[in-house]
Amino acid sequence: MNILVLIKQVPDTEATIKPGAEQKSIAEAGVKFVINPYDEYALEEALRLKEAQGGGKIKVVTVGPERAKQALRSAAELGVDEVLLLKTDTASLDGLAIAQVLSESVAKESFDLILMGKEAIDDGNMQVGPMLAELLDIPCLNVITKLTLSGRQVTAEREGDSGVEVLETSLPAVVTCQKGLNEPRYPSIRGKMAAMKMVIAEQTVTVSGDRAVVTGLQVPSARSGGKIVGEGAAAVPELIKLLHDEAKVI
Amino acid sequence: MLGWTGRIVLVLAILIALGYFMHEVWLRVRIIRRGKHDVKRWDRPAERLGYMIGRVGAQICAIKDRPFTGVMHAFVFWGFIFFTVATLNHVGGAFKSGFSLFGKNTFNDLWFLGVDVVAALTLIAVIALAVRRYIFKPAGITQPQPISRSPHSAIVLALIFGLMLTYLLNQGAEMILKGASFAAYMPVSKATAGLVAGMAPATLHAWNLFFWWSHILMVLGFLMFIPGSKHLHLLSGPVNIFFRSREPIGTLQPIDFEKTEQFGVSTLPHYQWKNISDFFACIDCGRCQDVCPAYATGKPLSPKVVMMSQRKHALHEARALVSGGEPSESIMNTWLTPDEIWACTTCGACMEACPVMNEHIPTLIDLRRNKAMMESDFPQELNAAFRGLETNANPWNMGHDSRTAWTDGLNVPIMSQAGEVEYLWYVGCAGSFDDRAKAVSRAVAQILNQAGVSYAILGLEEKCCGDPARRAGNEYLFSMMAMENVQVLQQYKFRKILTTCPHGYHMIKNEYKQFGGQFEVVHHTELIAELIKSGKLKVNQNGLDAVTFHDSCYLGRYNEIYQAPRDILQQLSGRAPVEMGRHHNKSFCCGAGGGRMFMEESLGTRINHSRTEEAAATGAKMVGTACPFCLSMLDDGIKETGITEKLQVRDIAQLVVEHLQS
Ligand code: SF4
Ligand code: SF4
Repeated sequence: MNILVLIKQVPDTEATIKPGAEQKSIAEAGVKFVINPYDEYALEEALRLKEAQGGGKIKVVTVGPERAKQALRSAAELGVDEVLLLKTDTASLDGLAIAQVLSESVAKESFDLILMGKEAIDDGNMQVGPMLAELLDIPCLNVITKLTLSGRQVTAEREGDSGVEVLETSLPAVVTCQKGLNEPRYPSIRGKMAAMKMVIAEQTVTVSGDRAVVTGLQVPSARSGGKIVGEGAAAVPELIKLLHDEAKVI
Repeated sequence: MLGWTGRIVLVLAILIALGYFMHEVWLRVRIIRRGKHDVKRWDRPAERLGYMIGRVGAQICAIKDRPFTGVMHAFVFWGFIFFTVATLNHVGGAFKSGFSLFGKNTFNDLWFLGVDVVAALTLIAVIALAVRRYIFKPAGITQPQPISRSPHSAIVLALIFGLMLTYLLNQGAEMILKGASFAAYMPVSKATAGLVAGMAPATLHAWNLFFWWSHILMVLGFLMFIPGSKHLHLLSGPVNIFFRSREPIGTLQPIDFEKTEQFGVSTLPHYQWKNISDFFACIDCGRCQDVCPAYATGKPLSPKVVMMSQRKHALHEARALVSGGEPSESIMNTWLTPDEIWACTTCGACMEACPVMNEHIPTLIDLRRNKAMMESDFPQELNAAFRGLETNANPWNMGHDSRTAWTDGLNVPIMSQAGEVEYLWYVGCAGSFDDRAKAVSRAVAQILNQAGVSYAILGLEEKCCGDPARRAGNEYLFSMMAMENVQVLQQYKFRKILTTCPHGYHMIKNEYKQFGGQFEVVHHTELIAELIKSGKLKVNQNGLDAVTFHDSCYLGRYNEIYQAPRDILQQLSGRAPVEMGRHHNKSFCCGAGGGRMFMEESLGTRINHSRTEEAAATGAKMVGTACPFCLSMLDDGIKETGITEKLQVRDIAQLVVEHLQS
């Protein structure tokens, strides 16, 4: 089985994000970049499927600048078969533009399964997966927490507020992954050592289309601290008064 | 003197016994030789020999942790030494009547006075040891069942008892049969002579022959019994002590990633030879188990069982090993379980207690290394810690750019702007990210500023020292971090490195050497003690009520810093701290070492609760610590056991700040 995993390099969840000079992108100095955490579930699921089937190929592709090679290297540490950087310096917010670039590159090969995170934690658009599926004219299962393959038949689960939806389709398909699907592994040291020497393949691409653009970035104002009105039953009247008069919520 | 048939039987018996003994010992030597030889064990041979003779001769090894058993053991030990000559004379006597190795002189007489007295003491010791083992049944040697249910000790105790008894009876009978010329020097044998004195000469002669043969046959039986039992320690114990590690307890060795494909150990040929020798030297005495915090709190780890299990693995695979083949199975899962090796806090109590100076920690970490690096199989929680170390250079995976946030509002110089300083202060991850430890960092900064110490921190150039990675078996990650840290440190000009974490202290002082970093390192308690002594820091004497002190493993057992924190407490409270039941080198771990800080403690009871209770039992209202991990563990322990009214915990630096004279 041929599996394609699409990943994105994003700022580390713990990094302090500040707007850059033009207030349109973030200042990258001192920021650590990692694989988008939801994409890690996709990578792990691909590895598990390959292990379970005792064969197949995993290719990992990302669209991004030169530094995104580091994310591919981290993916390579896990023992995937092939990695590719679709290199561009345009940081596009346009999901369709990215989906188009990917679909052109992907169309040349035939993949049975395309896995990716349900969203990238930096811009949180949640668009590329469904749009790519549409462009390739294949089904898309979104925000999946359980995936089972039997032959070409795909069964997946999606957890919602009111219960679990069970979805079925057949390969080829796009599946976007949600937390809970699996627990991503830590690479073996041999994997790490091999990935250090690996040459990362790259292709320059043009991301065109400015249907959505960033006009400005702002840091949210710091949250003001809470207020302790007292303890126990005695504090209730005061609380009600404040909720009514000050917060105006009741 | 024996007749010809007797002599032939004797010679044959000796050949069989000696042959078997050599064969079995040689088998074990060959197994040990399958191990690797990466670490120097021959350096300073004279010093090693002297140490070995001193420690074994004076029986410090046996006496230091169990005084009563140890003294009994010393009697038996000295019995063996004296009896070597007696036994040679005994055998010689079969060929030449009255044979004496030393000839007939006062030295010989005195030696046999020694033999006589020691034989009696050994008899007493053997009885005492049997009573202890079979009537009092101490947990260290009888638990856990069924691993300790071997009859070896019973056989050996019976044999030694028989040896002494037959020797004394034989000597007594000889005195009567041959006249009492040497009786003056053999008071005990003279007494046994009294027991057999009434017999007719022929009967006595027959009995004497019986005593003689049973003695020598027991000697030979004992010889055959030694190699396959824990009594191999007669040989391997001293040898093991000779080849002991000369580094601080628990120091780990690097892996050359260029030269090997096998990281850590999964079966015998991966071991360092000394660590194989360790489990052949193990006496199953359980001293290590008695002091192990993991065992004490119901975890599936006993350092004694680890030794025994490895020995079983080795003997099970003996045939393959000595013929140069590979063992048929890995040591993990069949002989040891993952829960065992991950439970260790690397506290070093086992190594401190072991009479044959076994090195449990390096072995356990080698097993972890194989799990972590070859199999990527380790407690789930470590995944986050490793990733945190990789992306944010701290095991909590907090944003690296907030590393210096604790300095807000304080005047803390940064190395890159400070030029040359006296102390480069390595704050460490806990001191930078953990709220409780951040308060300690602020206290230390205040002390340094007030005393006018020349210092600076690395700021954002500081990264984790790598201790959690190394102790959790991720040597690869650790070695990258260590190399990078050494490079950063080497680019600056300073005299000493100050650390507020005993783990950083140990790593930079003792383990960065392996990566080319030679640094003089000072712990903050040492510096503060000195500042108070020299008058640069003035504290209110008697400002503090009774206080107890919890020794951190990495500060105490690893680096033998016991006095400095106590001196400070003495200054603050006007008296020496109240000691807990276990203190100094016998201190009981808080439970956080060995990367355990970053793993769940889901098995057994909690180590920190046990230690907290011990601290509370002193009656002191305050427990001082000198390690950020101990501080959090004890603080959690106090809160979780609900004794916040009775006991509080502070780092020594915080106590000093609370009692500073302004
Ligand atoms: S180092 Fe401590 S926890 Fe580990 S085995 Fe030894 S005594 Fe037990
Ligand atoms: S390892 Fe040492 S302390 Fe532990 S049982 Fe063996 S000899 Fe005794």
